[in-house]
Amino acid sequence: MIEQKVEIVNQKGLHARAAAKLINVTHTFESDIMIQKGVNEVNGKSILGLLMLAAQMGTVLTIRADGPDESDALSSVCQLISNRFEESA
Amino acid sequence: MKVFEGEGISNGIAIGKALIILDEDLVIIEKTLTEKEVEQSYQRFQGAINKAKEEILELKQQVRGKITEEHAFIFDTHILLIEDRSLHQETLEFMQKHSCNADWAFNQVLVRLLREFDTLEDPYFIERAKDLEDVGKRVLRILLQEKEVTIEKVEEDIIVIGHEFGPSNITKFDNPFIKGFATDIGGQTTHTAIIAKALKIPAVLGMHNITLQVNAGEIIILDSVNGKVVVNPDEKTLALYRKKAKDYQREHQIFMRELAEPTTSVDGTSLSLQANIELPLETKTANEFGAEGIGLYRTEFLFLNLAPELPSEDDHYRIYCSIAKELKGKPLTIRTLDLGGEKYFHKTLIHKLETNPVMGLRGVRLCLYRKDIFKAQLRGLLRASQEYPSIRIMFPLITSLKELETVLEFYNETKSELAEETPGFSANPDVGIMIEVPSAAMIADYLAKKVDFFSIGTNDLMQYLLAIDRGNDEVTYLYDPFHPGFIRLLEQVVVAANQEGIDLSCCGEIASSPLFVCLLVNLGLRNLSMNPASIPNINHFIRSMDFNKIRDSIPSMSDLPTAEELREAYVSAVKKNMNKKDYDHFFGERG
Repeated sequence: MIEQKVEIVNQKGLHARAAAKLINVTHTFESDIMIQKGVNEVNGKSILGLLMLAAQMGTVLTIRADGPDESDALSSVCQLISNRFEESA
Repeated sequence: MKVFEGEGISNGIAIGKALIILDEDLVIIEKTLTEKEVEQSYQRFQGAINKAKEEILELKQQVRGKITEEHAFIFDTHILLIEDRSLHQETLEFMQKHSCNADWAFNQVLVRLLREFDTLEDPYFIERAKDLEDVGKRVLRILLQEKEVTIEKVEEDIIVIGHEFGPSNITKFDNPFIKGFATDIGGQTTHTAIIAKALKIPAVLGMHNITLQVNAGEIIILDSVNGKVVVNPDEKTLALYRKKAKDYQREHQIFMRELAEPTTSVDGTSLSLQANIELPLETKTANEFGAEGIGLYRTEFLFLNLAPELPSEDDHYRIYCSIAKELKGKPLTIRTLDLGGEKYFHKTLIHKLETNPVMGLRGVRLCLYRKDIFKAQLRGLLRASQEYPSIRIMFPLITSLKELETVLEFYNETKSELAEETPGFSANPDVGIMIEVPSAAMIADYLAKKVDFFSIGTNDLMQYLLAIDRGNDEVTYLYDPFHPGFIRLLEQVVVAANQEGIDLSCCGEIASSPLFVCLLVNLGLRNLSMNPASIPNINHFIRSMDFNKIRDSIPSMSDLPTAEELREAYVSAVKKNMNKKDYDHFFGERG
């Protein structure tokens, strides 16, 4: 299991559209992916979980990946978040 | 065959196939299942998930190109939500833990999640609960195997079953194949009751969860005379009710012919029966059913039909003129706007949700708050009354003398304005008020000096006096016009009106109930206004009654200090003085 911290830098935060993009990424990996904000940890493959994190801009999330492709999974997720989910702002 | 009991509305007997129309407030029942049934139920749940997904994809397809990509994205979110494994897993675990049905488990899971969303701080994320709710309901609806059918296309006799139907449904139901209604929610004054009366078809309301007890397509007998619903009747029962329906029809025809005779009782008491209407098209019904006028035209639908646009002065004028014209000189009492509680409309007027709208900004309070709306209506009314002096104006929800004076002042100002603008303007219609708040009833003597007439709105008056939500069928049993407190209040109003010599009528629902007609006549009321379909019935009832005999058989109220005793005294007095056939007709078969 590996983990990394990453900050939400897009203006709208982890809103529905961003969460959908994240789901599309997490679902391509076999590894379990968990996302933590404060004391709450949710399944990175569940849109419900992601929305309920209510992560706004500036929130620092801890991403954990566990499985055969954990290293690719972790870097892909962090990259998407750092790239503002490919949004303009 | 199953029999259910409820509250009969708009007398009659109807037979047809069940058509279930789901309302938002689904009632879902927990069922205990065996392990194998849990498995089957979960399979159905998965089927419903797939179906819901297909529906959403289809919706997305339909709106493609019509809305922006930004908005179309909502469908993708919905699909992701529906596919979310955690939702399925939690539902399955709940089902296994409680050995229950999928719809129940899924609903419990949904409720838990929705509550959790509600604890979030960011409004954007709180709002996402709506997406979850939307997809959740879609799945539930499929699970309950009830699809919304476009009712306009129905071509066989049907009984419409639902939770409760809103006012906007009325035109949708105007179809000769719709024979009746059965609903979960009860009450004479619910919109379903009003729709049933307006369309002259029977309804049985307040059956808690009839929507879940009946399967679409089952044969339903609605007996609103006895407040009964028979589901899947056997041949014998069906034959019996077919005959009853025919008999009822025949009696109705006799009553219709009797409308040509005066509404005078055996002892010579003459009454005037007028009609309460919601829609201009009911004027025709009122005329057909022998109404001596319109005792209450509720103008709310005029507003609701146009919402969110407001009716213009000309809209008011045209509609009032058209009704007055159709009445050919018979009186037309028009009540000014009395909206309140209808959230979807309210929102366009005031931007604040009220926690207790029945006691909130409604009736003349709303009119004084939004004088532009009030003025347009008053000007329309006054212009119409210039052409049709049969028009009378009535203000709702008056609670104090000061408030009445404020309303009258504004009315007089509006009238003066019109007189200045319009050469030859001389309209001076009768102006009256609803007595529907206990405080107004208690100061009826002060109020009577200011107006030309009173109309007692018993529905609201009782609700406020007895502290009973008339839409809550758990407490409607307490909603009893025989409550001595209510009767005392009515007595005060009658005395005040008589002292000032002003016109007095009752336009509440109780005027269409034979037993209460006896009570009202005893109290001295002579003008009753009711839903048009009740007039033939009540006319026949009055013509067959000897009110002197009734009065003589009722002990004084101080000897009957409870509603129950008083009611019993009236029931036995009526029973004694009425032939069996009439009694069965009006009060249902004796059990």
